[in-house]
This record gives sequence, structure tokens and C-alpha cells, in this order.
Amino acid sequence: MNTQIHDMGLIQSYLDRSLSDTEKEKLEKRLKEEPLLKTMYLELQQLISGIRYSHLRQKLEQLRKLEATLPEIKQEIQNGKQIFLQRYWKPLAAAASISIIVVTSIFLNRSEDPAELYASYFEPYPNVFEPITRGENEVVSKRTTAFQAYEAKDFAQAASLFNELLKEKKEPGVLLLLGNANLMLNNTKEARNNFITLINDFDEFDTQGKWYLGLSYLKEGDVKSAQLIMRELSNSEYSYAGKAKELLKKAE
Amino acid sequence: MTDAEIIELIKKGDPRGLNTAYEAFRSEFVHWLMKFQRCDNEEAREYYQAAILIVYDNIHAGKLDTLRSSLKTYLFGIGKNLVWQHYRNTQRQQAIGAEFYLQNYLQPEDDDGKAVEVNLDIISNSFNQLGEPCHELLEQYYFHRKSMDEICASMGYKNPETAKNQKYKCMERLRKMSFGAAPTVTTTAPAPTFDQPVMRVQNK
Repeated sequence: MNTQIHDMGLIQSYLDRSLSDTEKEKLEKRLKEEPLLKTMYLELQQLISGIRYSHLRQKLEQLRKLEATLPEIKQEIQNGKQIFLQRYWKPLAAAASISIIVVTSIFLNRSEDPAELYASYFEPYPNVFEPITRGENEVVSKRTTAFQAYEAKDFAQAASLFNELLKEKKEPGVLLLLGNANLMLNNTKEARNNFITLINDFDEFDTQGKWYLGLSYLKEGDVKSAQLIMRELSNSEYSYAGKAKELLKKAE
Repeated sequence: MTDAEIIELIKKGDPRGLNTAYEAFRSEFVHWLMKFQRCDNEEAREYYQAAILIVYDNIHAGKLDTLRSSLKTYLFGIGKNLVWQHYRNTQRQQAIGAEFYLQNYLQPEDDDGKAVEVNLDIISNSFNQLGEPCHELLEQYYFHRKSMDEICASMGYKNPETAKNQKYKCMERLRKMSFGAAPTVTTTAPAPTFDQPVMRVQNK
């Protein structure tokens, strides 16, 4: 076994390109002459690729969850359509202008119900902080249980455990998910405090905190406060800018 | 957050790094791909997810330690490579997902630089069933590239030699779970490389 451990270490160093020229030459000669060593080398390469793939696949799942909460990226106008509009804009504009004025004034005078707006824009932020992994016989920590509960939509348990975790140490990710859990439980005031703490005490997840704070105001019918926050978000560079602009239009 | 801060967070294993990078470049990348590579929205997002994870992997491998371009330029270069590679190999007959692009990227090479076909799903599933401490140990060593000294300290082994022996046992278990019978090794087209973007980059 010691020889095999030594050979595995050699192959690993070879793959890492950390062997000296002499050692490298020696190993390459052995790889040509010893089929078992060659097999070990090929298998190790494959296993390492598999280990890396496993980790990346896990990250891919997290990114997909995150993607599901982000606004859709709309396709820009195609070139053909742009040419059409450039050629015909004058007659189109003339015909459309009157109807646009009429429709817009009706639209602007009729804003959507805050509770309905909240319902159509709110989606709990996904757990991208603590991957929930395999292992039936693992000892599960309070932290893992908290995130597991959140993922399983047991927001009452999640909220309770997140509060305990925050007493030990304040974390932006925990604050964000706790706020979301409180929104799901209709503990809107607590949710608002969670997001305000997140925004004031941390730089990370500032944008997400503001988005959900805005939504929590909307949930309570405080449209003015929601508008203030959405206006600030709509001027930012991040993905929420588009969603905030959209919501702002509907709320005004 | 600056590029350096994002890279630092990713190296530390802080999920904020990857999430911030993902949100920061998403819109522009997807628009660019839809416009210049004539992908649809869903296809572009699959490429994006694969590209950002390749950058993430390269950060962990230390390949961005001396990055001279911006992270965005590097990412876009990876994306372009992905699309061209896919076009070359399949004539773009069908859209495939991020898992496919990642598997393509991770395929090991033989002595002639040709990709060796490996069923990474089998190995990955076996790895996920390994349990602890093997899963943690192997991930720390092979993905996060921690040294035996670092692993010894973080996982509480008596000394690096003990950790090394444990690593060997874990790899043996993984090998048996993955290969059971002797592995089939075939070679195909030259493997893609994603170390450097195709575009020549300027200093930031």
C-alpha cells in the first residue's frame, strides 16, 4: 500500500506540474512501461474531474435557484424591426399619438392594488448560502437544520432557528432569509426590521435587502415608502433595477 | 464590489462571491450572446451559467492570480470559447445545457491532447455518496486545492501523513464505487482549453 500511496502522490504532483524535469522524465518512462501505473494515472485524472464536476454541479443548482428569482432578460429589438420603425415612424407616430395620450392618461390614473402588486412580485429568496447535502448518518447542526427548514418551506421553524443563529453571530445571508421567512409568515414588521438591519449593518446583499424592504412596505399598503425605495433601486446598476422600474410604474 | 474582492470571496469559499459575479454580469452577457451569437434567451443563460462556473473553477485553480484583464473580459472570452467549441463539434444542431458544457470542459486529456470520454455523472454521483470525512477531504484537496497541512489543521488530523493516508483510502473507495468494472477509455476530438480567453486582452 505504501508504494501505491507514493505512486499516487507522484502522479498527483505530475498532474499539478510540480515535479522537477528529472522526476517528470522518470515518471513518463514508467507510465509507458508499467500498464498498472498508467491505469492508475488515467483513473486518477477521471476521478479528479468527477470530483470537480460534482462541486460545479452543486454550484450550478444554486445559480439556477438564484436565476429563478431574477427578472427575465428581454431580447432587444432586432435590426429588421429597427429599420421598419425608422422608415415609418412619422405616420405611425401621428396615428398612435392620440390613442397613446388617451390610453396613458387612463393607465396613469389607475394604479394597481398594493397587495396584488406584492403578491405578483414577491418570491422568497433562495437558499444560496448553505448547500443542503447528502449523508443520512450525519450529525445535523442547528445551522443546517435552519437552512433545511427554509428550503422545505417550514418558515416557522426556519425563522425560529435563524433568530437563534443571529443571537450567536449576525450574518447578512441569515438576515436576508429570516426577513423572507417572516414575510411568508406575515410577520411584516419583523421582516422590515430584518431588512433594515441588513441594509444598515452590511454591504453585502444591500440591493436584495432594499428590494424586499420595498416589498414589505407594499405588503402593508405603505405605497409611498415602497416607491421611495423602488425609485432608488431603479437607478442602480443591478438586476433589480428593471424589476423596480416596472413595479414603480404600476404603483404610481 | 471590485473584481479583486469577488475573486477573494470565491477563493475563500464565500457564496457571496459567485452570487455577486453572477448578478453583475448576467444581463450584459446574455444580451451579448443573444445578439452576436444568435442564441435564444434560454440557450444564452445556459452558456452563461457554464461560463461563470468555469471562471469560478479557474479562480480556485489559481489561474486568475495574475489576471491582467477585467473579470468581465475574461468571462466573455470563456463564453465565446464555449460557443465556438459547441459550434465546431455539433454544427449547433441542438441546444444543450450547462451540464454538457461543464462536462466538456472537465474531460481529461490523453498524451496526445485528445479528450478522454468519461462518465462524469457516475463519478460525481459516487462522490456524493461517499459520506464524511472523505467527501470533505477530497473536495478540499482536489477542488479547493488545500495543502495536506491545511487540511490536517482544519479537519483535525494528527499530522499531514495521516491525512494523506486517509486521502488515499478515500480515493480507493471512490475508485471502486465509480469504476466497479474496469473503466472504458476512448479518445475523441481534441479537448477544449479554457485557461485563456480567445480575445487578446488589454491591461485594466
